[in-house]
Amino acid sequence: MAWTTPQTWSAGTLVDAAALNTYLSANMAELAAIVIQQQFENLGTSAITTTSTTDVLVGANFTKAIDIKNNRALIIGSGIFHTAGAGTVIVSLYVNSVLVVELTRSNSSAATPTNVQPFLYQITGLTPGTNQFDLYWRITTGTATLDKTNFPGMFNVREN
Amino acid sequence: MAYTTPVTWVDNTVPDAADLNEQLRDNLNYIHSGRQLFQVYGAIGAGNLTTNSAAYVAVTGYSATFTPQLPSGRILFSLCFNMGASGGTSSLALYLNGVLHKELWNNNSVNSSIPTNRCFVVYQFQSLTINTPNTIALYYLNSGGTATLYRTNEAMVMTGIEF
Repeated sequence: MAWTTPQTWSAGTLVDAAALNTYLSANMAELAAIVIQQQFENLGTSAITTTSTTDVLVGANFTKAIDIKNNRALIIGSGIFHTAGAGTVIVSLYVNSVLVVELTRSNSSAATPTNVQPFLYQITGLTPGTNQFDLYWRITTGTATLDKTNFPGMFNVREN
Repeated sequence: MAYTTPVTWVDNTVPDAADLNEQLRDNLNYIHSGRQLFQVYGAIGAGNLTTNSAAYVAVTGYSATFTPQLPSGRILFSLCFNMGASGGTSSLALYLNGVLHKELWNNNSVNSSIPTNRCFVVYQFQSLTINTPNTIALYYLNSGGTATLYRTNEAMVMTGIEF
């Protein structure tokens, strides 16, 4: 199943079975299945930490290759990103290894639900096909933690 | 790109090129990648937004006008924000076409950019008038002090998509 750019019809064109199957059947089926969603999460039993002052991948399960059918995707989620008492945690979205947007920051040391950082971003201008979506982070100084105990964090990339 | 209500075909109708282009090509393209979409993005560090008004006033920049075309008239709206209050209670609301549609948030918490004031809203608009421009906007007030929408350590983002 694949999307085929609908053709422009002209007078005298024979609409045969192949054309209907390509431009009607297959495309309709593709639209019905278009919402592709990938979830990033910490699948381990412990919190994730970093002391990196340059952007690094949050974790092994925070990188997803997604086959985008059109050119738009929505990233949505929240997590408890906290410090050890110093510095600022900075969380960013990379697409195809390129920084797209800084999603959120935290300079709080609270590892509680009062320190949940929600984020939201609509990505446009993607090239249809496989795109790599990665969640990166860094801290200006000290140690950054993505909490696991009180709130595991939920992050989704969804084609729309 | 436009969406046209699908015709009901009857026997002996001969679909010509114009019919196929309108009913097949254009409608498929609209559903695939042409649905109305908007985003207002205030980056981290963009500067805070404040008001001392005790009556709802528009949040500068957070307004989007679009023309839904799908018969459903639905928009899925999402908002990520951080709002505090310095004195009084701060309130945030959705306006649709200039009219108060939904109050989202009341907060009398201390005025500071802290994570406890962060919020995420998902709301579905239904039965919007289609083929007509619609405007969704954020409004805010404070009952007796200052309302602040923070963009210090967080992005303030408003998005919507027709579905």
